[in-house]
Amino acid sequence: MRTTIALLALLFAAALPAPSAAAQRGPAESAPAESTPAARANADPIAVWLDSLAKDAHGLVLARGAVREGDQRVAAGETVSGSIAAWHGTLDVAGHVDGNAVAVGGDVVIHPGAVVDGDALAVGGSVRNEGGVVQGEMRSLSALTVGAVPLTPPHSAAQTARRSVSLAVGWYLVLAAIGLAVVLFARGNLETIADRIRSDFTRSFVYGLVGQIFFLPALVAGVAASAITVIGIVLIPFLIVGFFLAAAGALALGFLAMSYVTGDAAMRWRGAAVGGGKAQLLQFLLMGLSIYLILWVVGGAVGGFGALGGLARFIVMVITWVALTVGFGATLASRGGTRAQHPLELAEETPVDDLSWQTPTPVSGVAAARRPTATDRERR
Amino acid sequence: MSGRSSRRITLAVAIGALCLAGAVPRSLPAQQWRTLHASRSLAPARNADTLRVRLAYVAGELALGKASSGVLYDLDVRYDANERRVSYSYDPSARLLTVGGDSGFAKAFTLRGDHGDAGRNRAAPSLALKLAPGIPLDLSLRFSAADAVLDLAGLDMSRLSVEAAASDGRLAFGTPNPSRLASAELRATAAGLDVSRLGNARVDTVRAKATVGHIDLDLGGDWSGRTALDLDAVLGVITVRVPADVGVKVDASTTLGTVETPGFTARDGAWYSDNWESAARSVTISGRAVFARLEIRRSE
Repeated sequence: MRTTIALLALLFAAALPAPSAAAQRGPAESAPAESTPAARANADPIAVWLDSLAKDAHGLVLARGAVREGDQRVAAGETVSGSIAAWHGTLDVAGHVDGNAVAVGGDVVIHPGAVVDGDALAVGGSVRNEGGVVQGEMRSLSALTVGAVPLTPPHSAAQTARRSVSLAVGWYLVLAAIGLAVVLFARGNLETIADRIRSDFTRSFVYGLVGQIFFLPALVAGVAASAITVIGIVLIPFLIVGFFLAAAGALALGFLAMSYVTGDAAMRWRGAAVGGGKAQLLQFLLMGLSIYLILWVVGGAVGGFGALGGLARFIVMVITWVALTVGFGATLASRGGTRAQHPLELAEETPVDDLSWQTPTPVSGVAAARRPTATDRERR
Repeated sequence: MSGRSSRRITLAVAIGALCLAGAVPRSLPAQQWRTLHASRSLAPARNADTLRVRLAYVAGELALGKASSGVLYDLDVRYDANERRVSYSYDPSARLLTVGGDSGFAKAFTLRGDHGDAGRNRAAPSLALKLAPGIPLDLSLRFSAADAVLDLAGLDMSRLSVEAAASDGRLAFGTPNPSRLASAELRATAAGLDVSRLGNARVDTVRAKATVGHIDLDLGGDWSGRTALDLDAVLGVITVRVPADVGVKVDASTTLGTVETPGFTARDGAWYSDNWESAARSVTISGRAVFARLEIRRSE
């Protein structure tokens, strides 16, 4: 019971939200009050905004003195030397503007006969040319876009751990659901693959490794072969999708079989009675998956904390990869669990005991069989 | 301890995992949609100068068409400021309009995974460019993961290059090109490109290459004289639809591919239409099909 509580506590602890970066920052790390955006806006919001306008890729440089609050108008016959901007108002131009005509939070209206030598720019509004001349460009922006595309903030170690644990739990649940379906509907396949793993772990690993290496070349070869015929070209998309689905299925089935073998071994080690039936198969499978889940949770929880954490995560990754590879190889070797290992294959692997060839000899004396020798085999 | 305890542990881990899955917060990144509209008036003194346009666009809807009279270009962009930036520039001395950079897609719109924009939000990123009618255009378009509608009706094309990657593109010459188009280059890589009324382009040479994609060329339209098509298909299909009155000569090679020329006559290693000698206008098609198919058909 204590083990159960400890496990639950560990899982829930990992799920707790990490404190935000702001909450973690101490007073010494706070920015000086003079340079905060709020402080600068209090000083002169227009100046701050003009600074942003200059930094926007589609903005322009405007002197503070060119900006006036509210609606503005350049009357016909009037000439403005330099630029003019209306702050939260409409700018009507009927005369001549020597520089740029700008409206912030309003429209720029170029009336007939008006001339703007520079650009006409409206931010939060639009530029309407009703018959005037704009020598530069007419530009309307819904808002300023300053700076580079915001990057995803770097995750803290706690956040990374939480994400890893979430991922591990997600995979556990998905695999458990698939495992339940496999136990119900493909139990024979699962057991055959598991037998293959038990009887020939190394060969399964090698098969899995070769399968991983030749996965893409096999796909390319399949596509190229299909492209020889017109019908084959049509079938290429289906082939590609089918290939990936088959590989994913083989990986999942193989890993479930590996989990079953792991759970079986763990239960035997703990001295549990091994019987049979779907219920026990499912129990062993979930036990195995739970062992991997604990490994993933531990690896994910400590992975972000220093070199030792990284090493722990690496070890967990290697263990998982080996399990996946062995399971994948066993699935390939057993054709998805449809081909049980031939008894002769097993026999080839069984080491011959020096005395096993002997026939039990009664005391009365019956001629014993001859021990097979290399010469005998050659004769045969 | 053994069997019962093990079952308890398994059950506890499963329940814990379920609870944990419910406790994990999920968040979606916020979007900041921006619009940019930019246009420039046409300087009447420079109507004869060619306007060069270099446009590269990634992920979204792309539209090209004719601007209203007196406007050199008219650009309308909608984008998510959390996902990308828009860059464009106009060089009056070179008369060069560059939208999204001149040296590659990545430079064009800084992308950081526009995941499911169309699914989450009905309004997808878009770019619409309108160009001045009546001035010569040297147009180079490249788009990737885009849905492009390129309507060249009313534009004066002097050079055209279209490259589509992982996209669906429709290119139409709705009206006859005022001047002759020296060459048109069309490329579709893992993409589909439908070109309608290509005859209206009055093009001398068309080079089309489909790689794991398809290009459909409709030679309908108002044209005369001779034109040449140079086709390359690799793991793809190029279909050419030729009006019945146009004489056709097809000279194509294949490597594990096919060339379909229904109704044409094979002669001296090439295929000829019955009216090849007598037609007032003709097209010469040369092509290569590698694991691919070339189809030359009469348009209906």
